[in-house]
Amino acid sequence: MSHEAVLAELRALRERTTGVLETAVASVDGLLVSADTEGARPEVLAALSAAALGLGKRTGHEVGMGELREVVIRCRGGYIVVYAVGQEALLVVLADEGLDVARLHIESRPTVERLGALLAGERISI
Amino acid sequence: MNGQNLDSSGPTPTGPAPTAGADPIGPALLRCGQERFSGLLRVEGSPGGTICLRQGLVIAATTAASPGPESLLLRSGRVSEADWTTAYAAGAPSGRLAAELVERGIIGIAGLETVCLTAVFDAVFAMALCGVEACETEPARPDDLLPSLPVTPGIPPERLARETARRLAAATAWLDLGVSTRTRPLAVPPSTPPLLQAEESRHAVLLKANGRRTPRDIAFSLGRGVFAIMSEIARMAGEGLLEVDAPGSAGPPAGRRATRQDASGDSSKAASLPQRHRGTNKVSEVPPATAASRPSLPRRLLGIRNVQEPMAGEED
Repeated sequence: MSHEAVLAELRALRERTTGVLETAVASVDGLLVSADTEGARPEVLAALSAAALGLGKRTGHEVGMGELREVVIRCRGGYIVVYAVGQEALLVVLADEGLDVARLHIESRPTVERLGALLAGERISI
Repeated sequence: MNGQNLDSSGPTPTGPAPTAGADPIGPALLRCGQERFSGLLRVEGSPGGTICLRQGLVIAATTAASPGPESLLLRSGRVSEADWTTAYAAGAPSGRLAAELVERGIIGIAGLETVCLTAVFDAVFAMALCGVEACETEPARPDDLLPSLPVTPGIPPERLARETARRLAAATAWLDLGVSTRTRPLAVPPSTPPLLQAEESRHAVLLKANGRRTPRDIAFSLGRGVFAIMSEIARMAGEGLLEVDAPGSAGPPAGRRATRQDASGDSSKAASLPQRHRGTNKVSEVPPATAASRPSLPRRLLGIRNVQEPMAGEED
């Protein structure tokens, strides 16, 4: 099942990146695809992440800073990072304050690529 | 998921072995001490980190592998968020955060020094335990940002290296119990609160040991050192209170899969991404606003404007 494959990608990202606690994949309009969460409410996280991504894209466009790389939100207890997965999906990562953000950006690239392929692949095949 | 149980196979793991003799941080630290080095010692590894030295003494260490002084103070509840924010705003820009915390009576000077000291020892231990590939020095530059909570005057590298070696030796013994940095311990949450105050810390660890968190994750969530948490886990694993090599330890609680309620039976479009359908959003059920249902005050309240009540029919 591709959902198992998506979940496997999420777990692998959490296990290889120090500080990552929870992750989820959603569509850009905020519907949940798959979540490796513990305390966060997956559906709410998906919806809010989509809103954050949209806001980031629009703000970047408005001020002429070009293509969005990712949205990083920093709170007292950690980070919320939202990556676009292709044009139609997103990956949200929750991590504690010990996270090395630069390392997460590097570690998440291949995950985003593979998630993109998994999601696009299924869409074409069905 | 691959390799999640590498270190549960026994006392001889195939990953970076945490043996005291092979730790390259110790010799690098001693060299820095001899040269009275000022600057950063960059530790390459997974996750690696940096050790900050001044005149050959270690004043701070930062790594993703262990909580820093800020996490230790805030997560443990020793310092409140409001107090921290006030002291940070007042002191951090001029490098006086520690002084502000003490002068405002937020924490005692001895307590603060202990936390900063603990954080450095813990960071170096955690970096060494997680595996170090190389160490490189980077001399201090005038525009470098100094650590916000340094140990003053600093820790002699010999003492730090000696203590790290002792801790690594203890960690090697924990491997026999199956406890390593990658362990994700699983415990049945204790149903009753601890009777003795001394049991509270073990109790807290048991509550956090849900099969997802590594010792480092538990240390962050409780605002305690990784070494302390690992020794607690090792003790409790020895007593059988914790399961440290749970099969499929990355599994529970299982990840969530989206319910496919939004597919609404349209199998031809059963793509991986769920799709929103026009008119299914609950927001559209809100009746459209009428003139009668509008609030009598104008909505834009933030700007300085005429505060008189609008006349009838004046709105919009």
